Amino acid sequence: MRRAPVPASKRIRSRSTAATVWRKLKADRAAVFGGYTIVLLILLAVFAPVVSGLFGVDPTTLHPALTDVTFGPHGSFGGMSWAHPLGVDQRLGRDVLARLLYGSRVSLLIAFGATVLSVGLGAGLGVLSGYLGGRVDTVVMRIGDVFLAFPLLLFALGLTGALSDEAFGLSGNGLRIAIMIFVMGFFNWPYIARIVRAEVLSLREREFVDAARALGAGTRWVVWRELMPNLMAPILVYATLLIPANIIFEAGLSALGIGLDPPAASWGQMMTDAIATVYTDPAYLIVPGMAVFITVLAFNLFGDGLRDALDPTAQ
Amino acid sequence: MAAAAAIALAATACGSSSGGGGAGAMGPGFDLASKQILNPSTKTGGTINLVTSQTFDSIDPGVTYSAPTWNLYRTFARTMMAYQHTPGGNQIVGDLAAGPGVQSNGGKTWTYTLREGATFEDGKNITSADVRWAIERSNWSSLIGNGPTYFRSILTPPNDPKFKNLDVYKDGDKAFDNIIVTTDPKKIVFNLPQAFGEFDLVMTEPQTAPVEKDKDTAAGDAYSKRPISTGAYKIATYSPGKELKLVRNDAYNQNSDPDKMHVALADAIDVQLGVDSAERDQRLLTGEADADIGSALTVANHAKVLQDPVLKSQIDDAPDNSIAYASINTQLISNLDCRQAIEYGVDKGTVLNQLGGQWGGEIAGNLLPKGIPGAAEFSTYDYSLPKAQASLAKCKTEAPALFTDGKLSFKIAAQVNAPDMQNAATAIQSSLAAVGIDTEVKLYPFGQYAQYCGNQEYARAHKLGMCLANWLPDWLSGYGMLDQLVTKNGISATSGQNYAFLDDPIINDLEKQALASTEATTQQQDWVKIDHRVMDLAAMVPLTHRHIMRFRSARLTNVMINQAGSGGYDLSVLGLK
Repeated sequence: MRRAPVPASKRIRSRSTAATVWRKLKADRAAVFGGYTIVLLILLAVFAPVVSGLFGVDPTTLHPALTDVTFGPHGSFGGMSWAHPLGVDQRLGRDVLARLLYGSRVSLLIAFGATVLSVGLGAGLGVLSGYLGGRVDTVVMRIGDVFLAFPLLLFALGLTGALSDEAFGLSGNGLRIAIMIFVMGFFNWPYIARIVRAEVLSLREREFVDAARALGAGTRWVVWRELMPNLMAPILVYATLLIPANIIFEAGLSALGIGLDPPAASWGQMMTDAIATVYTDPAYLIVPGMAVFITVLAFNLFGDGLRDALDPTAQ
Repeated sequence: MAAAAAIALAATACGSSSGGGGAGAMGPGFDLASKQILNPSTKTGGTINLVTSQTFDSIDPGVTYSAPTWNLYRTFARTMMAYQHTPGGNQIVGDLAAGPGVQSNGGKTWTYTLREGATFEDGKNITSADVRWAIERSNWSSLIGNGPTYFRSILTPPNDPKFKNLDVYKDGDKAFDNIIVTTDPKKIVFNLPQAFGEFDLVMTEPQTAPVEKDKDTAAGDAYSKRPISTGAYKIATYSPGKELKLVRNDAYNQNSDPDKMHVALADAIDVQLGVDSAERDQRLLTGEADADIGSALTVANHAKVLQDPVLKSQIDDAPDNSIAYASINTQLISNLDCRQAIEYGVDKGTVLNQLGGQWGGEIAGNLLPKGIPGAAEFSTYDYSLPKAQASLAKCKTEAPALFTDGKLSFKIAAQVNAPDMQNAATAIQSSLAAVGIDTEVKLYPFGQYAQYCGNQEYARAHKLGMCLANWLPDWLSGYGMLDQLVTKNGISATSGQNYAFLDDPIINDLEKQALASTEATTQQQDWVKIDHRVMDLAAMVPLTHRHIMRFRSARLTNVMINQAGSGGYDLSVLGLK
């Protein structure tokens, strides 16, 4: 007698952490919107020459005929037209759209660079400090305190003044960008270091870490295989929140006159230039301001979603 | 439509301005103050409300060095010579001195007689020793550094060790007994090591306002906090960075002032300091303040005031005799044809637009503005792309070493936080690119600008080919305009003002000749010759003779723009309706 076939038991596939996070993230519409916007912004920045080429505009050509010296560009909204979709700037008559696109390259590059630098430094030193403890912890955290007490803006002013032309094999705006990345990145590490250190302090006492150590795991194993996966959540979330802060910081540095040399554009530079005409033609402030706003919002939405997705207690 | 707007504005402004007049009242008319006296009046009383976005470098007339403070301090510091109070005036007359200096000994000796009856605010008679001390303390002591040093370079031989580190507060002033002779309390005699034909103009400096030696304690420090008045106003209160209040000086003897140089119509002058420029404009346009002590309205408000007939009737857009220029580094770009390519290649029309267009000034073809006596405007190079390209091609065959990768390339410097000048640099960059000259704009901080642009080593090493800057002469003469900009006197090892590094024997000789001359017209002609020579050498690209848009409230009387007002409103003669 043939036995009835045993129904194949439904195989329960275990979901990896990454898959769970991805599923939760996809369900969060705000985060998805943020994520798409970020991807779009990055693509626009990378392909700025192509995109502005499609519109037939470029960031440096002057169109003096399109503007009036006293009253600004002919036409409304900063001289918007089919040829110049976002208008031209107040007196030089350069295309605003092209400057916005090229400006995004600088602003995003600085923001990403500075974030990677400070998060990398901060996470590394935070793990070191938290895991090793004792004297190392004291020294690293006191150095961190010194950095926190450092007058960042004054330092940036001094540094751009001291290295005004050529240094480290860089010159001109390349050097300016490098300095801005360095200043913003190098002095912001203590924040993330403290967060990571606190996390490590609690993690290192947990059973799974004890177990790994009991099985003979070395420091490197414990840090990379046991601690790191648990630290990714706060680090990623912090990074997505730091990027918009850095974009705004870049704008602040430009306003202080330690941004890029003209005619290079950055969003901060565009907003600084717009301050002079804010009463007569606010469009010049609104356009780069909206660009910063959208970028900051996108990163914040994405960061929020990511935090929720990474939180095992949230459903 | 415009009329309706004007009525609406007048209606709202009446509520806010209590002093009568002010905003809303129709002013005497657009851009008239440099041509006629507006609201002429002899009515006394009231308080004039002035405002400035700056703070004072010093309240001491011997130390301060800016056009607005010179203008303001003339109300309480009586100088030996002074500019006449006429609209657009640039002529000098005796103020504390009875008249211009009497020259002898081939222009090396200058003698001035003091007016009878002039006193300090404490009633003490002014003597020639007080003038001597005023000049000594501001040029040979620890007070030196911020103020001008013309007396220092004119009265003593350069690099004389006897005077180099002299501090009159510590070492006494015996060394000057034969240089500034004051044996007669009513006479002061200057013995110069070299003739200096424009000595009367030097005597217009606030450093000549008398200082009582026994009141000048703590090495000038006490006096620098509260100077003792010699003019028709005196200091009531001063809080640095915030406010200066001047009131009528009752001790001022009007009999000692037959030319009415210090009439003091208003009872008091109140100056609010350090007001943010947007806020400053707001106060002016609403009538809360009557005038700025010297600065222009911000460009952002130009459109607003020009479109409103009431506001427009209260503004002036007059030349202040300053020039915006771009120097060409003659050591870096050593070939004349290359420099002429730049001269022909700069489209000054576009540059002018960046500097305010028709309201910002007029295109300049030469250095000396027409406000300088004897000067005539001319243009050696008019914008021409073909001529620029031809000059560049010629240069390329003559001096191929100047070209890298087949291109003439250098940097253009402009100042940080000066968006107009930065845009002008960008416009120059763009028009030179059309010629085939490759440039890069570089920004330097205002305070250290001369340490980059005026530093030969730095400029050469970093290929600083052109530097954009403004120049406002300390006094209206060829010397004030040209000495520091284009002669060897403006070149120093680390931070001179001669950014072109022009050390031309013909120019240096012409200057010497001008200063040795006792005849005003020959002096003036020599300066004009220097102006031509500079242009022939293509060492400077004059950009614009600047105009400054200023606001005056309709309630001000005796309004005029002239050199007594350092190119702005003459503050010493203002009154109220």
